[in-house]
This record gives sequence, C-alpha cells and structure tokens, in this order.
Amino acid sequence: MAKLTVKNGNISDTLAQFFQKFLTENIVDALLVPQEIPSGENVVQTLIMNPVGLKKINPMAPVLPLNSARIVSKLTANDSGKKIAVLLRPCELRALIELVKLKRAKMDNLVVVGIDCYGTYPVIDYAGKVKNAGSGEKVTMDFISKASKFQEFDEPRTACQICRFPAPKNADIAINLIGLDVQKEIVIQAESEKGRAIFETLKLDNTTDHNEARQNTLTKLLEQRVKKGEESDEIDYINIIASTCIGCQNCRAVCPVCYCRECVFEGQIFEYSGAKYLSLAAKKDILRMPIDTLLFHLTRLSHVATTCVACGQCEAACPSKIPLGKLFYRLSKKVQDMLEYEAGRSLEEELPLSAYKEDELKSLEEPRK
Amino acid sequence: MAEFEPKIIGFLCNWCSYAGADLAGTSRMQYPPNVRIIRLMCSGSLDPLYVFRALTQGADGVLIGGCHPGDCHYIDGNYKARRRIAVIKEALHQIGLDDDRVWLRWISASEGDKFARTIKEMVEELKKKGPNPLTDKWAAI
Repeated sequence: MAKLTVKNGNISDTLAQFFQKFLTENIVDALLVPQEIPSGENVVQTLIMNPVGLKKINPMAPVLPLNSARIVSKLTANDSGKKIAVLLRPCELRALIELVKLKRAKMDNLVVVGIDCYGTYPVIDYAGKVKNAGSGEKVTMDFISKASKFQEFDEPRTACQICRFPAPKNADIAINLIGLDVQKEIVIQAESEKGRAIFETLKLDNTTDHNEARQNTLTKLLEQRVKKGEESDEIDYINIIASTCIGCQNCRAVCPVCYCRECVFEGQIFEYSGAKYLSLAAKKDILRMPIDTLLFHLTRLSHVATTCVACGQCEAACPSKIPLGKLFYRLSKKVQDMLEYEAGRSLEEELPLSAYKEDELKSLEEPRK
Repeated sequence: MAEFEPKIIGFLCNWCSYAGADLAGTSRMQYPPNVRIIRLMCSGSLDPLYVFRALTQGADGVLIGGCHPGDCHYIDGNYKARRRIAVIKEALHQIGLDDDRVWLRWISASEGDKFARTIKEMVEELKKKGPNPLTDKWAAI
C-alpha cells in the first residue's frame, strides 16, 4: 500500500499530487473528483482533463449534494471510449454497480477510486458550518475527529448514521481514512488487477496491509450504526405523507437507482381527464386533489426495493423532510435479505426480480406473524 | 346498520385460476359474492400498481390467483410474480398498511372448490379486520 505523507496538514495538495499523475502518466484521460467550490461552502464532483484544474480536492468533506452514480452513468452510458478515474464513496459505488446491471452505466473504461466515509451533514448545514468556521478543512477535520471517537451526535444525516457500508468494496484503488490519522499520512491500497497495474506504473508499493487500527475502528463503527438502524420508532408514515408530502417527486429525481428513462408517473396512465377526476369524485364524499399522493410513495417503494442502496438522498432532497431514509433502509434490508441479495455487492449477482428459485417464499401464503 | 361486506378485487391468471373460478361457477358451488374478478393472462403480468391502486381506492382485500409453481402456462411467470408480490407486501407493511389484505394463492383450473373456499376464508378474515382504514383517510390517498 502507498503511504502519502501529508505536509503541513494539507490533504488537498497531497491528493492533488497523487491524482495529477493519473493524467500526466496517461493512466486516464479524465478525472471525476470532489472539489470545494471557491467559497468552500460545498463540495461538488468536477470533471478534470488538465492537472491545473485540481485546485482543492476534498473527498473527505462531510457533504454529499448528490449521489455521483448518476453522474458516472451520464459519462458512461454512451461509451465515450475515454478512460476516466472516478472518486466515489461506498454508497455511490454500490449504486453505480446496480446501474451497470440495469444497463444504465458501464465500468469498462473506469478506474474506480473508493474512499472510506464517516458520514455527511445535510447540504445547508455544511454550508452554514463552513461559513462559521471559515474553511471546509476545519469542518472536515472536526467532523472526522468526532466520528472517529464514536461520539453520538445528531447532526449527520439519518441515512449516514445507520449506513452499514463505511468502507468501499469493489474499488480498483481504495483511500483508507477510518481509524487513521489523515493529517499525517494518507494510506492508499490497490484492490484489483487494474489497481495493482496502476500502482506499478506509479511505482507505488503494491503490498496490501491488513491495518489493525482501521479494521477495529470499522468493526466498532459498524456496530454503532447497526444498533442505530435497529432502533425502533413509531413513525406514522401515512399521516406524515398526508400532512407534509407536496408531491414534488424530488425523492424520485435524486434517487441514483431510479433508472427508468420515462417514469410511469410521467406517462399516459397518470394523465387523467377532467371527466375521470369528476367520476372519481362522484363516488366519494371528498377527493383530495391532485390524487395519488400515497400511490406515488407505494410505487416508488416497490420499484426500488431490490436495488436501493439506502444512501438517503431521497430524504435529503425532500422539502418536507419526510423520514424516507429510514423507510427505504428498512424496506431494502428486509426485501434484499428475503431474496438473499445485496444491492451493490457484486456485478456478478443477478438482479433478484429477473431471477427466481423454484422453492422459496412459502411464508407468503400465510398471514404475517 | 348493515353488516360490513368486504370488497375483494381478484386478479386471476387466465389459464389456471380464472378457469378454476369458472369451474366453481359451472359446478354451482356456493361462495360469497364479494369478489370482483379481473382476468390477467398470467400472474407474472401483475403490475404492483394494480394492487396499490386497488387498496388506495378502497378495496378491502386483493386476491392474486396463479398457477401452481412449476405449472405456469408461460413457464416461469408465476415464479416472478411470487417475488414481486413479496416486495409488494413488504412495501405495504413498511409504510404502515396491513399486508394481510393481499393474498397470493395458487389455484389450478381443476380446483373450483379451492377457489370457492379461498373466497369464503378471505371474506371471513376481512370481516374480522374491518373496512380498509384508508377509506377514512381521504387526505392520504
């Protein structure tokens, strides 16, 4: 594994030096890396073809304005033939793997650099904190120090507090962060043939290190998150949807695995005529307008259940902050366990709704216990 | 005050369950009149939207009838239906609705009596549960 020494605590420069070699040594034609915007109040994915564009890489910042699997899908669905290195968090990588299986993205010309993730703040919270603290770096380091001490604090997004995947799997190269002191050195490991070949070209150490500190921290972090995820709460979703859902469909728009080119809700089936509305109203005392508020949510649940990676972007985008993160987390875990599947686990695993076992799910014919 | 009569929407596959229901009829078997039958060519062509639409528009129960596993006219449609219905039921349960209102039953073309029995059982169970709670919640649907 490669250990990059961090000079003066300047992580961004250290990573920029590492990544610019990808371009100067012609390993890839372009990079997709998260960088701070000039004001520092947000971190967005940037597409770079010239090392001069690597101004302020900050992939450790606790903010994720969108799940980058969508971006990678836009870059690769119609193969440009160019090689791109993409820097992704575990939930983004898992969503990407699902999109590849759904034929919405290709990974053939990608170099995937995964990075550990301690979690993220909601976007406006991050912007506010950076404004107060003065720099993205301060907010990042403060967050990492709290999270690495397993401090319970309410500010990270719910989906992050219960996420069971803090470390990336299936990456070509992995940046280790959890359990390590990133202000001194950054540890990077090659995790695939492609990754090892790149390390050869960059003349980096190809041995893998089973870092005890990191493994222990990961185990503890996972325990904390699983426990939080199992906390029961009596959320009355039907009531919350009735009282706060405005039908904007943001949740669908930002979901990385909502993959249909034309959503059924944009199609003919849901274009009702005036006469149709009136005939429905004639049969009831009251008809809430427009109709299909709950139907939209039920449909989304059943359409993404087997592919959901529980990244929580749905909840982040909801203007009414409906607790969708927990709903989709619980549903996806239950359904995927039932079908012995895990979204994003492997490119080789067949999509569960296209497959079947001759003998399974006998309990469907019994009442729920 | 009349006794509550549940409304059941039955999605039956053409080759097995629908034929089974037909057999119940021609054999003059008595069963409650609460089911409204919709014929599908295969249980595998059941779109989750059908079930959700039925429940949000006031159906008290939804019955899905298909060929026995291994006997699907289209080879594996019912296997896929089984997985899809597992997802439908879990989605209903997670959002707070009673997924025991959705029944999946394998009824073959010769099982007229099983069809009649299933409807009788379903009506009894639904009478115990009472009307679909969503009918009161006009603001949610």
